[in-house]
Amino acid sequence: KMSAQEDGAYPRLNAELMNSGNYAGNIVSLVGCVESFDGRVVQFKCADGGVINAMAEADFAVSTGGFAEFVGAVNEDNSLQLFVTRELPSDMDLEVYNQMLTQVIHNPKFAEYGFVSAPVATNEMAE
Amino acid sequence: MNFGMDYQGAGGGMGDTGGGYQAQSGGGGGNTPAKTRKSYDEQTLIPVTARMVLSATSNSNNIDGGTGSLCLPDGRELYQIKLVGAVRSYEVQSTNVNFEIEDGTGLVEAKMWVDDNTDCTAVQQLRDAVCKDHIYIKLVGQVKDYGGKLNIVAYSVRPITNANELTHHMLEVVHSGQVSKHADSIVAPLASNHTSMGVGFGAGGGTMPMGGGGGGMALEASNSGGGGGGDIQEEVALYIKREGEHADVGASVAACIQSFAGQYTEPQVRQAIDRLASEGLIYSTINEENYKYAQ
Repeated sequence: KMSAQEDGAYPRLNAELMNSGNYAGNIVSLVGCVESFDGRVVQFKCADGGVINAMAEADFAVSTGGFAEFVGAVNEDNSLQLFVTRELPSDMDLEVYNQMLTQVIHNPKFAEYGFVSAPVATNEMAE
Repeated sequence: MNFGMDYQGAGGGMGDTGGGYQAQSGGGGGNTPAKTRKSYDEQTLIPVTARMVLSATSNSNNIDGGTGSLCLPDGRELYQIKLVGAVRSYEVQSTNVNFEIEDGTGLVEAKMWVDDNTDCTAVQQLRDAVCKDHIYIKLVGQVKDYGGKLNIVAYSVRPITNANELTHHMLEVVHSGQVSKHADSIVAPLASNHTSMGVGFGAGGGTMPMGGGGGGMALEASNSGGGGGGDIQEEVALYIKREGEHADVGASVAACIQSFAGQYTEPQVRQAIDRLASEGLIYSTINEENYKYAQ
């Protein structure tokens, strides 16, 4: 379904990039801090401070205040359909991560290191 | 300078001294006679992303399917690599554990040999700690090419203990790559006040936490911002480079001080020389009063 994205290769995003709407249909990764989970929707604060909603399974296990990487598909409304949650130690410095995102990962100058920045056009938007 | 590595015969540029494994051919006994052990200078440990591993290409002489030397797209030869990524899957077998590791740039396979008979408890515990899906690990190993498929033979796999290891690793990947590209043009990191500069590793000024003096500036660039500590170092380095070529003993410190009289004081010049020497950009020759520029 996610067409041309290579296995294991996905853009790392923050809320601003996510909300740009450019990544709809792509598999992406966001790192953030869990703010709430109501059994269905996880709200987490991203590296740039913006909040993103993710549709999770009932067994989502990261507690509020915990850090994790969330990998999933971007929905039309810029929420995340969560596939994988990777819990991270609580000493995560989100500000540094955000600077890395904006100045390194999404800097075309460093694309040679394999970072994925551009979204992949997906044709199968009709579900 | 030789840091005492010569118990093995020869470090980088020592020529034919000692019975080193650096000698041509016949090294390392037995079934792969064409394989010569790399010198210490070539035994690098390079931080990489999965994409970089997958993009490595083989040099010629790909013998045995596993002994051809591999190169990154930027030309750096691979010896050992380190990588931070998440375990996508793992498979425990009797003699090894196979991992699939992904880091957002690609998916790469890694194999870690195990020996339950000789591995101590701590090793087994560490192995148990990494055999979990969706945890971030750091691995050190070598990239091998088996029949065109690249994978990693891992010597060390351990869970990350600090969440910033991921960020740090990505930054280190880029930093290491950029340094190797610009090695010829880096003079010295600035001591303080990153005034303008702008020629960082894509960061522009001192806003990036990893910045701290990492700005590489071409030796010929003269428009450094303001009269900071970087100016005098650059000028002294230029002087030593220029004057040092006239004599085997290099440039004299006294002459250098004299040439900057009125501009910089003697303590300032001496301090600049000390800094340049500690960074390896200049080296003393017959005594501490004569220096040459390291090419």
